[in-house]
Amino acid sequence: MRIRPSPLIRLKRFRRKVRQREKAHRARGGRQSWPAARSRRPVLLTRIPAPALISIQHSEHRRGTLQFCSRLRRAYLHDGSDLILDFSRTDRVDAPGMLIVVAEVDRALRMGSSDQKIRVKLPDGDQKEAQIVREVLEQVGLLHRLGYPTAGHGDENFDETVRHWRYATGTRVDTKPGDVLERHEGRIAPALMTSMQIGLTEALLNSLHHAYKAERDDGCGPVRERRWWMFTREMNGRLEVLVCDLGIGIPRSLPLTWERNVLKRLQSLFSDDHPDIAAIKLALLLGQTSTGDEHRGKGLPQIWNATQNTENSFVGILSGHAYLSYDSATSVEKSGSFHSTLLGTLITWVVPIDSNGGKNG
Amino acid sequence: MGEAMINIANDFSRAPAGRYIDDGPNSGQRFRDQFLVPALSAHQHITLEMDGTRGYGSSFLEEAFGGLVRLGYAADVLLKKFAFRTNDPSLVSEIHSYWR
Repeated sequence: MRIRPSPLIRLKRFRRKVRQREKAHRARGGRQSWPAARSRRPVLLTRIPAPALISIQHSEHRRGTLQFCSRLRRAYLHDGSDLILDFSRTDRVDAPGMLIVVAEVDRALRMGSSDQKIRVKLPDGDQKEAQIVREVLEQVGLLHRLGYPTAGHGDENFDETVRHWRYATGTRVDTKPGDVLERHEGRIAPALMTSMQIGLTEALLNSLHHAYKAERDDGCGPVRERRWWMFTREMNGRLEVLVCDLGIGIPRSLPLTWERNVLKRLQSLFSDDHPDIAAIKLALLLGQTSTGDEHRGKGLPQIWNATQNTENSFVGILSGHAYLSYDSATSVEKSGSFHSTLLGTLITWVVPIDSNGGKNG
Repeated sequence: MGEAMINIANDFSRAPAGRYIDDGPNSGQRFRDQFLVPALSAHQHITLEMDGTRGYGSSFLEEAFGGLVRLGYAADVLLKKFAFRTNDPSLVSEIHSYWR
């Protein structure tokens, strides 16, 4: 005959079991708090509708795109909810907006709990716009990252505007970013190629060293990982390179990098500009090399100078509330500010390819 | 204590980049610690062949060459010991600027 233990003994045994599981959980590098009744975790499911146009460079659509990212972070990382990213209304995406969305989803997956899930609702319908959005989500690797089987018909069948996009991400500056450019070796003017290789790796290093110096103001807690994300596309004789980080942005990182007095003195040069535009201009100024050579410098200024010396090139920097861009075809520098802030920095660089388009080539 | 020759593209990497070892496998710190410092201890003169790589960022150059001064090597000794072969004279001026 089996004697049933007393309730007190059963409670003690239960507590001991919980403690053992908690210890094993911590040893695996899990979170400090251990839910005693894991199976009873309420399953939250939040649907987050994506905007009709995913973009961060047009003020009327930027807010919706950044709100989408913010709601994604809050629901997944703060509330611990599972997600349905609903792209059913989305009919257009631009590359900078999509890069930010992909980066935010990738970051959330890396930071969130392994038992959380993100699902995607794709745009339905036979319209070309819906088809293109579906292809974009596959081409940039978002569907694969979320565990969806890809269509398997290869990118050759995708729309011309979609199939040339390539995606990369990393936490170090190894051969990966350079390899992306090297695919185009021989079709980019040699001097421009060198400037691009150096400018790109230095810009990524800037991100790794400065963008993650403090906690991002997104309420998701500190992140140990320093990561960059990149899209490239070769089309119509031009190579587009977009890189971003999800850090604190140039306006916040500058005071953590440079002495207050130096910044104060130089800020007077840009006193008519929005503070975040002034911060980007200051970053360009402060990164100039001490040797004074135009083609050297550190990251951002190097990219900026290379663009100025190359015909039909473009550079755009988005950080915080501001953007600053230069188009060498028109020799026009543009700047502006938005109400919403981009928590990070995104650089777009477009250069001519397959010709000796560079003045310095 | 003769002369050493280091061809960066062949002996180290075609893609030198990054300041610290945490930044990547071909960082300035690793080049300094594994190539420059041992060469300085063993040789009177060191010739660096710098062409053939994807280029040099300031972070790499500053940590590799500026880092030697921080390790205690005197600038005038470094100027005497190192010779550079490159088609880009701005590289040499930049390295020298870290030793001033």
